[in-house]
Parts: sequence; structure tokens; C-alpha cells
Amino acid sequence: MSLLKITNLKAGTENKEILHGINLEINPGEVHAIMGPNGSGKTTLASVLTGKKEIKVFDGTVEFEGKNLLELAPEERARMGLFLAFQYPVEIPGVSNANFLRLALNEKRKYQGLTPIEPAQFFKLMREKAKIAKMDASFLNRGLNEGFSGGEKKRNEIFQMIMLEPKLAILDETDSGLDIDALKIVAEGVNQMRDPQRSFLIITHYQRLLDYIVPDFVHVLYNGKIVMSGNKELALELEAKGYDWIREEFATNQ
Amino acid sequence: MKLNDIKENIGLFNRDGSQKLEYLSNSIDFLKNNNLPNSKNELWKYTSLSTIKDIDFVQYNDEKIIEWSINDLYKIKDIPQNTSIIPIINGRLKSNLINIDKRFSIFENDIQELNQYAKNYHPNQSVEADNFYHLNTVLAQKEINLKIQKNTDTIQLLFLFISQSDDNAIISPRIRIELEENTNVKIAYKFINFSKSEIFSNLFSEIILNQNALLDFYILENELYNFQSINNINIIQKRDSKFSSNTFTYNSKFIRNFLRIYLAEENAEAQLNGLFMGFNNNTIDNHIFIEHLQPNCFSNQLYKGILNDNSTGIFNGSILVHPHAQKTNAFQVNRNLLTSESAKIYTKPELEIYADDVKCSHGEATGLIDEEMLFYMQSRGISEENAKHLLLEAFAMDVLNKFGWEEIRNSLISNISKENDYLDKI
Repeated sequence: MSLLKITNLKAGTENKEILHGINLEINPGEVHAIMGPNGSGKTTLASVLTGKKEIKVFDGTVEFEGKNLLELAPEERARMGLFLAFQYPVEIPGVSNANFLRLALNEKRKYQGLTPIEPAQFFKLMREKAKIAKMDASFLNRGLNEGFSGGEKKRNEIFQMIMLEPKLAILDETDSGLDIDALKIVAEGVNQMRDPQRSFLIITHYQRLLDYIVPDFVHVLYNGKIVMSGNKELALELEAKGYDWIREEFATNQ
Repeated sequence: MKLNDIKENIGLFNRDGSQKLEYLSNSIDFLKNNNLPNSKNELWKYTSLSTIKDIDFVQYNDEKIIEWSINDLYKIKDIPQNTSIIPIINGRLKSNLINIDKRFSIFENDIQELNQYAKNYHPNQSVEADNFYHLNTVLAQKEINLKIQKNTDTIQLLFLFISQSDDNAIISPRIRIELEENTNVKIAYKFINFSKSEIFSNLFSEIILNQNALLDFYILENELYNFQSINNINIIQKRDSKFSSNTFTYNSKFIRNFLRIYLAEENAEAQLNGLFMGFNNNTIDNHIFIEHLQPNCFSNQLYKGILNDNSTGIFNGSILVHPHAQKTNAFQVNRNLLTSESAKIYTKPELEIYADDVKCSHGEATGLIDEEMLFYMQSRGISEENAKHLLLEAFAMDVLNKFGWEEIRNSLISNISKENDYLDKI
């Protein structure tokens, strides 16, 4: 059974359809990349999968492990193993990284029928995993993303992903605004997490990240539709030819 | 007696002959000549007396005979231990329930005149222009006088204002506190009500911090339903004194705290913290007036409100810097969260600055619970309810963390923690 199955998904804001019929199937262990120019619907796709209120679904289905994902609250999706690394993580002053994560982890454990993690064990785990994302331990007691630089926020997303061990992690332009060192840290975090049971959906504008996280499949999203699918070579071709190539090729579809 | 008819009736209140002082008749005259304040009065623009003015009250000055023991007092919720409790029942000192301590003296005496600093300078903001100060002056039978002896270090006192009456009653506590030089004191005013009838508590208090005195002061007002209260509190600060006030108001029908701070000598500091949470039809009003009279003084206000249901919050923070008060630092922040569509907040900074070498700032912000933040937390598996709780707790903790009296702080924090229901009503 596939982990995620999107069939003819049409979605957008209240007044405007942005995704015009997406079909995508992700099996356990696969890494998919979605590339596309600005405005093609990449972030809308990530939002609809995680259950953002503002995004309306007009048609189609999304199944996660055979369950209808679209009828679940965002927190239920997360507990089942869906994770979104946000393009712009919010700052939440006064809520510490540590408290937030412990609560999140315990909600997931409760869903799995496990007892809450012991505080000491949690802090040990947190310190271990923070090293992978090269997060300074002092960050953990600070407010959530409070005063973090862009790169620190992205690393914190990866750190949370490592802590929560999702089945499907969606990275929404995690590479944007990162320098090469931060990019490597993010990629390293993802690569360490790669596992036959865990899948990734990597949304990106540039091919650059895919040098470090090698995808099994690459899809091109344009005007709310997946217009091309291929292997990692497609990403290189896109990089060489630029998005104008796609625009010219599929202009008639508009 | 209704407050609405006070102009006609106030002359009927006579005191025993020993106290026929001039300022007492001044107060009677004031009440005869001035209507109850209404929305046309700038200082009452958003604070309506509609829930108080038509209640038929009896004047209540006498302590009710209740069989309290000192031990009973310590069993009351949120009472810190290692603290001397000063019980004030219906406005009168219950001195037999106080443990004797050489470091302070407490007794009742005749009503005294207002401290000179509190009357000379800004006539509109002074209690001399306040009907309720004058009403207290007329109705209070005695003044309760606390004096902290020189060089007393770290003493903790809690005034426990207990109201207990079968009739609708006005009670008029009048408290005068003087901290002598080099003292370090924590004082709390805590209000509890055992009456089924309507109580209107009209408190006036004058607190004097002499040179190098340090006072950490608390006003604790929670869950006062048929108890409505106005607290006019004057603080007069001498050289090198430090005052911090910490106000916690939670789900109470009508509260008006008016703190007037007179930084009367150089190098005095005042830090004013407040957290207020309104529910139902609560009216919660925090007025602050800080008068910077001398150079090199510091004041800072941090007030935060969470308003739910149909509640109304009022924050009015006034800072007056005199021409002579150079090198003044005066800051103010008020932040509010409205968690229902019919909750209201009126917030107003007033800065009047006549000196040129000063640093003053103010910031007011009111908003709703941030949807982006909620979604972020939900996307990590945290339920909407828990996410909301975390956000409200973080908002409130910002103020509570400033409360320096550990036992009080911890008990307030535990009130808003997940195990208690303080925030779950939102």
C-alpha cells in the first residue's frame, strides 16, 4: 500500500482554485522532489496536506496509509506521522522549544498508545538529536524560534523532524535563504533519517538541494498541475534549461 | 443609601466629635457639590458605575463577630506561609488575630490628612478630585496604621480584606503604611468575600517609602463576584526608594485600581506589573498616574490583559514629568488579547513631559490569538486547545515572571497551569 496517494486534487483559497487536479503516489522509503516556478502551487500543496484552514479542497482525495487525510484535523495528521518543515516558521515567544517539543512528542506517544516520556529521558534525547541538526543546546530553553536567524529556524525545523520521527516529511522550500553550510546541515539531517519506512516530499525552487538529498523521483509543478515526472536527471535538465522551458512547453495549457 | 443619591444624603453621616476636622468637612462639601463621575469625566470615560450606583447599601464599618482563629486564616487559598497576616474585617482591624512582631506596629487611629505630595501638584489626577477618596474619608471610621521599623530586612505581610455582611454594604478600608528608612518589605492586599449580599469596597491607602526603603507590593483580586471594589492607592517615594507593584485580577465583577505614584525625591524607582483576566460581564480598570517630581527617577509599567466573554478592560497609564525632573526614565507597555468578539479593551497612554533630558516611551497593542502560531503547534500534533493554552500561558507568564514574591508567584502560576481551570474557560 502506498503511504500517500493524491488523486485528482483540486484546491485553493475560497475564491481561487490553485491546484487543478494533482495526482501523486508516494511509497514508503521514497524521496520525491517537487520543483516548479514561483506561483505554481507548491506551498498550497504542502498546506492542503497539513490541513491549513484557509485552503479549501474542491475535488479529489488524499489518502495517508489508506485513511482519508482531508477529514482529519492538523494535529491528527501530525500524530499519524505527517510532518511539515515550514518555509517560514513562526516565532512563538514565551513557549520554550523544549516544552513545545515534549508536548508534541507526548501527544504522538499518546496516539500510539505509549506512556509520556520521562523528563530526564526526553532531555537526553533532545540533546542527542540537537547535535545532528547542529543546534546549540542553549537554544532549546529559549522561546520557540524567538530571535532565531533564518538559518536557525530552518535547522530547528529539521531538529523537530528528527525528534518526531515522521513517516512522511514534507520540506517546503527548506533550502530557500540558506547558505551552503546550512544547506549541508539540513541535507545531512534528512539523509540520516532516510529509511525504508520513511518517505520525503521535498518542495524546492532550485536543484541545488537535490545535490545533497538525492531524490528517487522528480515532479514538475506548473500552474497547479504536475506536468512532468522523471528521475533525478529531470532536476538537472530543469536547472540547465530554466523554468522558461516549462513555460514555453506548457503555455497552451494555461 | 444609593451612591446615586449621595449628594443629598452625605450630610447625614456624622462622626463622633473628636474628629470634626476641616478636611472632613471638605470631603462632605466635595460630595455635596459634585455628581458621581460619568463617561463625560475623562478619568471615567470607559468605566461605568452602572453596576454599583443603584444598589441600596448600608454603611458598614463594624467588624462582624466571627470566630476566626489565626490558624483558620492560613488555610485560605493562595495564602503564603511565613507571612504575618493582618485581617481587616469589613474595613476594621482585627488586631487580636495578629501575631506580635517587634519589627512593625499596627493600630487604628483617627483619619489623617493626605500627604502633601499627593495633593499639591496635579489637581485633576489627585485623589482630591476623586469622589471615592472623599467618600472613604467620610465613611471610614478609623484609619489602620502600619509602621515598619527602621532597618527591618525582608519581612512579609499580608492584609487580608474579608467582607462578611448579610446586607448590601459599603465598606471603607483606609490603610496608611509607612516604611521607615532602610527597610525591605513585601506587602500584599488580598480580598476575599463571604457575603451573599452585594458588597462595595471603597479603599483608600497611602503608602510612604522613606529613604532607601524597598517595597514589593501585591494586589490580589480573584473571583470576586458580588464584591465590587475601588482601590485608590497613593505611593509616596523618597530618595533611593524602590517600589514594585504586582496586580493580579481574575474574573471579578467590577474592579478599579487607581495607583498614584509620587517620585518625590531623587533616585526613586517604581516598577508596576499587572495581569488582568476578564470574564462574563467583568469590568476591570487599571489606572496609573506616575508623577516624576525630581531628577534621576525611573518608572516602568507592564500591564497585560486577557479579555473574554463580554468583559471590559480599561488601562490608563499616565506619566507626568516635571520641568525639574531631568534624567527621567519612564516607560510603559500594555498588551491585550481579546478572545471573544464581544470583549472590549480601552487602553490609553498619557505622557506629559516638561523636562528635556528624559527617556520616555509607551507601547500599546491589542490582538487576537495568533492563528499562524496555533497552526504551527497543531502541525506538530498539539491539539488546538492545548496550543491555545500554551499561547495564553506564555502571554501571562511574561508578567507573572516579574512577580518577585516566590510563593505568590508560584500559586498564581499554578492557577493558570494546565491542571487548573483558570485558562480553560477561554
